[in-house]
Amino acid sequence: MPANLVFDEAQPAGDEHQRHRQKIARITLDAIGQFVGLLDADGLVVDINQHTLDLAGVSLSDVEGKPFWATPWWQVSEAVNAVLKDALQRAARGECVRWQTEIQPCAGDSKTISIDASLTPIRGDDGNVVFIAMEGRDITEEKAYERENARLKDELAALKAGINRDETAASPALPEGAWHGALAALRESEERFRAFVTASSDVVYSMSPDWLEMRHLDGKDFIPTTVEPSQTWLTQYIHPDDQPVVIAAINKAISTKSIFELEHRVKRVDGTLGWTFSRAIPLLDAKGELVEWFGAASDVTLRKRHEQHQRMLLNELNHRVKNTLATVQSIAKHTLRNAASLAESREVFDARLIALSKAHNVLTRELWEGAALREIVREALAAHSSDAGEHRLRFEGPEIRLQPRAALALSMALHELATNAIKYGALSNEAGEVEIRWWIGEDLAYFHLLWTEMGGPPVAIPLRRGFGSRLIEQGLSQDLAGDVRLEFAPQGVVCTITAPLDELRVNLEEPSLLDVVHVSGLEA
Amino acid sequence: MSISDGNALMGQRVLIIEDESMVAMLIEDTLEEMGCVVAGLAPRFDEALRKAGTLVFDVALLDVNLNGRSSFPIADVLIGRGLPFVFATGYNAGSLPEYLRLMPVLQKPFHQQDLERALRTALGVA
Repeated sequence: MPANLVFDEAQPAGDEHQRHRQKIARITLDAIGQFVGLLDADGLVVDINQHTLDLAGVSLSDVEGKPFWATPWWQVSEAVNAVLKDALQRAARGECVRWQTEIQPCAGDSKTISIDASLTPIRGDDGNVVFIAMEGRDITEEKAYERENARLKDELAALKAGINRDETAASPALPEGAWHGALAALRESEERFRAFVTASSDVVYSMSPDWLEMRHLDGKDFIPTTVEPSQTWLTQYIHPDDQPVVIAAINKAISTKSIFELEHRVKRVDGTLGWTFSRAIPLLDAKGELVEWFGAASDVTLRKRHEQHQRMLLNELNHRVKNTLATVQSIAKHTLRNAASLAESREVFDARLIALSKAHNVLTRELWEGAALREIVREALAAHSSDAGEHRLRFEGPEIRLQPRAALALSMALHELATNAIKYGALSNEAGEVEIRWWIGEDLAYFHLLWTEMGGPPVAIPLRRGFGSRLIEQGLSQDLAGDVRLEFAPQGVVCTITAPLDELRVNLEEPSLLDVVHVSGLEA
Repeated sequence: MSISDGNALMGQRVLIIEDESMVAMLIEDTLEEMGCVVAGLAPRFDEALRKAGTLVFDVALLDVNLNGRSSFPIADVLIGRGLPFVFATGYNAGSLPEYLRLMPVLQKPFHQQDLERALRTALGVA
């Protein structure tokens, strides 16, 4: 049992009640796994919790009475130090100050952690600030999750684009868990303890020895507060699905008289479910019997949500990558089977892969929520118009936001049409032209696209329909749930596409992947 | 592939439920090379649900995700009709619900032998 659980000898003897409250105060603070300190109005150190001291390898006497900004934790940079000094001055004037900063938890180790720091002024009877309560919550993990999340989104975008990034973007190691340390002796009155508890963002609670009764819980803004002793706390705070695991952890803590520690879901102030990391310490009497439990619980909902979000993004990414690989497998199989020579098959395969990749680029730019038809047409024809001359490939039609599937299918089909036109059709001589026109039918229910070739050499009906024709006729009609006709008319190839607008246009009411992930949040 | 292996799948009628057209073509051609008959193709959920419930076929190849929608309700229809099927997926088998984990799973992209093996397992033929 940590030394700080021993009664403070400086306490006046005989004041049993006061001593008991002291003891409760100290043990409760012990359960708050945070960075806590007490300063005087000039910013000089009065007290700092033991774990923080231990990390820096100093004792309280080394830092007691020293300016807080001169202590080891704050020697990260002059800028960090300057912000702290300014915050201390503001707190001394009576302001509550909160900011995010970097500190160095261990002496002689340049590794820094991010904390959410706050200073709370404590006023004396005359109303002047006499102490400043300092509290810092380790948010390194949250920051890392934010970064990891941003990285995953980038990765998703990159992989969707069919680009294989190298391994250098490997996941950064997550930092060690939050500090859970014992608190050093808190010498002053219960009021000061209250100030600490107020300054802390953690939920603080106390339980009967058998956990059947919750004696008190200060829920902050996270979960509802319980003022009067309650025997219904389990059903009030814990979702039925999670009750067994919570009860099991409690029973284990009771039977071993050791610390209760669990991450579980909890009903929040607004009635929704959040996640908490809860930790309680047993208070034993002289005979070693359980007297009470004191606990602190922090809100880890955000981190949990990030974890779930990441899992969903990874699953989605994996699904899309595997499907894309299967698509490439299909292109490879058909290209190899139909080609006359290895050299030809290589060229055709490369061109198809690049066409697929370009469509992915357009979609990635728009976060896979849709793609502008004009851009899809422009990208699909760009490679070919340089061969043929821009004026020979014309397109015209209203802007339409395409669903990803329709965008990919149209891209591939246009690529095949253009390739054929350059090899055998209107773009194979010096004079021919291709016109692409699209419009929405008068009933506003159907999309129409017409590919017309003219001025090319007379068209012969191909003896054998290759993968290109099949991509256009079978693939496109399937992906658009429409009707696609490819005619080898003597004066030029004509391709007619008719498809229900609903199957092809982005439905604004349909939530995107990211919306789904966001909304499903905790229940996912 | 030995002759007896080939005979086992010869003429088996397969329903392909797959939303990516190029992947569907790959499956279609591979099945035909193996001697199977494509009984139908359903790229969309509603159509797939209908065909799974009414079409005549011996075995289905079922994509787990149809344009963002889970195909488990279609699996339920197939189970209800007592028709065997193979899941095709980019996910791992762990993402399937417990009662569906015994079904053969084809990981995309796939080897032709894997498709054969999965179909034989589903059909219970050697």
